[in-house]
Amino acid sequence: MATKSMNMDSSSAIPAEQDPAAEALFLAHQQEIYRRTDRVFGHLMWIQWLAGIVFSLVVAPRTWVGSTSEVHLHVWAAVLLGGAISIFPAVLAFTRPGKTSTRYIIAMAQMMMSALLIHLTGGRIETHFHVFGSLAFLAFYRDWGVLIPATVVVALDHMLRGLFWPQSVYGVLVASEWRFLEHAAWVVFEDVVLVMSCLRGTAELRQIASRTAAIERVNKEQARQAIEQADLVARLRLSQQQVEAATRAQSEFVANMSHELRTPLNAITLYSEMLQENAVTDGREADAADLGKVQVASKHLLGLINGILDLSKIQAGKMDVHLERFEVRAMVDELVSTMTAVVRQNGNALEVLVDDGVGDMHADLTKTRQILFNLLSNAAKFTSNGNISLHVSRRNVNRAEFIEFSVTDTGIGLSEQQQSRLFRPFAQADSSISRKYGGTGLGLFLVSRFCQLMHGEISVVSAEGHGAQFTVRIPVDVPVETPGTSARQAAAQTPSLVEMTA
Amino acid sequence: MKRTRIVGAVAAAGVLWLGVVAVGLAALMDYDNRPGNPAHAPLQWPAGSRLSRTNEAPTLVMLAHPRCDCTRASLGELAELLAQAQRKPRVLVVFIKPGRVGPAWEQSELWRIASGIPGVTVVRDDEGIEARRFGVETSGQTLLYDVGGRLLFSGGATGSRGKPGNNVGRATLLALLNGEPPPTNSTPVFGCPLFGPADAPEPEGAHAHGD
Repeated sequence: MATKSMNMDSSSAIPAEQDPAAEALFLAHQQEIYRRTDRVFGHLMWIQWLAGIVFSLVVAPRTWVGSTSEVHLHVWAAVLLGGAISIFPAVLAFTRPGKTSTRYIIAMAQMMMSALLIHLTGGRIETHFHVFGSLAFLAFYRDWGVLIPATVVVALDHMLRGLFWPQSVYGVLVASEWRFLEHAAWVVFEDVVLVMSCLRGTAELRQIASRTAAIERVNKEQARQAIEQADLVARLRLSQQQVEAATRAQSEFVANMSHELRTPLNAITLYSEMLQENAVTDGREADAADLGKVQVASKHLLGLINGILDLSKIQAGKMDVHLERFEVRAMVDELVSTMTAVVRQNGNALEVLVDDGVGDMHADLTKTRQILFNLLSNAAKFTSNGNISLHVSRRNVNRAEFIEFSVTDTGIGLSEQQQSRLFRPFAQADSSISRKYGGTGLGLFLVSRFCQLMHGEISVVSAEGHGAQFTVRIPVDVPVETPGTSARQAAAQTPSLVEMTA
Repeated sequence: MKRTRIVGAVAAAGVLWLGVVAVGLAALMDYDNRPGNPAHAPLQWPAGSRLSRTNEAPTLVMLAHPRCDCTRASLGELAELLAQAQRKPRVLVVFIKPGRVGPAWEQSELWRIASGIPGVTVVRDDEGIEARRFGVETSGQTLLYDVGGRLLFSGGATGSRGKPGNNVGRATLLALLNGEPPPTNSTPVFGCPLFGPADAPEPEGAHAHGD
C-alpha cells in the first residue's frame, strides 16, 4: 500500500489566510495572547496603584502650613486618582479579557498611570521610563493598534501641559505650542520599532498556525491510513489463514491419495516384473515386451506420485531435513555408478571431476543425492550424443564454506523466458518439451526447494541451443533448523533462485 | 441585544472613566503648578536684618520651611545653580522655626541637605522674624541682592511644586551671577506657606541665630 510523504516542509503548509483551519488556529492563539496579556496588566494595575500610594507616603506624606500639617495632596492623588485610573481597566481585564475595548482602555490607563507616577515623583526623569517600558509591555499584545491610544494620551498630556503650564514640562515660561511634538516624536520613534515587532510577531503567529494546521492534517491522514492498514492487515490475515487451511487440506489430500496410489502401483510393478521374467523364461517375447512397457509406465507413474508427495510435503511445510555427516566423494561415486547407464542412453559421455580436498559435508544425504540425480537426469534427457560433466568443488564465499556441484551439458539449452519459470512446479520449458521428452515438471522445482531447505542456492547459465550449466551450492555444515529461521517455511512459500543467463 | 447593552455600558463607563481621570489629573496639575503667595521683598537690604551680607559678593537668601517636601527640589536647584555660577555669591538658607513647635523641630532632612551644599550657610529663623522682614510667605522664595544691597531677583528656583529641572528662576539667577542679561527679575515660587493662622508674630523677642 502506497503511503504519502509525511514531511512537513514549507510547501505543505498553506498560508493561514487561505486555510480556514490555520486561520482558526491563528485567531485562537491571538485571542489567548490578548487574554493572557490582559490578565498580566490587570495584576499590574493593582501593583502600580499600591506602589504609587507607598511612594507618596514615603516621599511626601504631609504638607505643611507654618507649624501645622495635613496629609499631602499627593497621597490623596495616589489613593483616589490612582484608584480611578487602575480599577476600571483592572476589572475589565478579569471580566472582559481578550476584548478590543479592554486592551485599548488598558493602554490608555497605563499612560495615565505614567503621568500620575511622574507627578508623584516630582517629574523625575527616571520615572519617564515608565512610559517607554509601558509601551514595550503593550507590544506583548502583538496588536500595534493599542500603541495608538497610548501615544495619543502621552501627546495630549504634553500638549495640554505645554499650553497651560509650559514651565512644568519644558522649563520655560513660554514655549512653542508645537513643542509637545518633540516629546511625542520620541514616543513615536519607539512606537515604530514596536509596530515592526508586532507585525513580525503576528506574521510568526500565522506561520505557526499554518504549520500546526498542516501537522494536524497529516496526523488525521496518518490516523485514517493506520485504520485502513489495520483493516487491510486483518483481512489479509484472514485470507492467509483461509489459504493456509486450504493448502493444508489440499496437501493432506494429495499425500493421502499418493499413499493410496503407491500401494497398488507397487503391486502392479512387482507383478509385472514377475510376469515378465516368466514370459522370458517361457520364450514369450511379445508378452515380455508388453510387460516391459507396463513396468516403464508404472515406474513413471510412481516417480510422478513421489514427486507430488514431496511437493505436497514442501507446500505443507512438513518436509524434514535429516542432517548427517558423509563423504562427498563417496556419495558422488555411488550416484554416478547408478547414473552411468541413464546418462549414456542418448549416446552421451559423462565426465566426473571431484576436486581433491572436497572432504565431508554435514547435510541431508538423501536430498543432496536427489538434487544431483535430478540434475544429471535432466542433462541426460535434453542432451543427445553430447557431453555431460559433473564438477564437485569446495568454495569459500563470504567466509562460509560450500560444496559446489556443477552439472554442465551440451544439450538444447534454455531461452531467457524458459529460465524465468524453470523452478516453478509443473513448469517445463514449454508444452512441446513435455510431449517430446516426457517428465513431470517437478524435478527442478524440487531441486530448488531442497537447496533452500539446506540453506543453499541454485543457479543456471544457459543459452538456447548451447547447453546449460546448473550450479548448486550447499553449506558444508548445514545449520540446524530453528523456529525463527525456518528455511522449511521459506521453501514452502518463496522460490530460491539465482538466475544468470549466458 | 444583550451584547449591545453590554458594549454600550462599557462605552459609557469608559467615557465616564476618561472624564474622571482627566479631571483628576488636571486638578493635580493645577495643584502642582499653583504658585504660593509672592514675596514683597524690600528693594534694598533691610537695615535691621540680623542676616549678614557682604560687600564683596552678591548675597542670595532662600527662605525655607524645614519640613516642606516641595523645598527639596528648591535646594537641589540651588546646588545646581552654585555649581554652574561663575561668580559665587554669599548664600544663606534660612529655615523658619515657628514659636509653637518643640526643640530641634527645624533639624529636618532638608536642614541636613542644605548644610551639605558647598558655600551655603544655614540659618534658623525663630518665629520667622527674618522671613517677615523680607516679606516672604512661601517656602523656597529666593532673593538675590547685589554687593550694594540692591534687590536683583525675587522668585522661586523651581518650575512647579517640588519639581526639579530646567526653569526660568534658576536660569535668571544664573544669568545674574554670570553677568548676563536676565530673562526676568521675578518668578513664581512653589512651596508650602511659611506661616499658618496659628503662627502670628509675637510682639517682642524676635531673634535670628546663625549656624
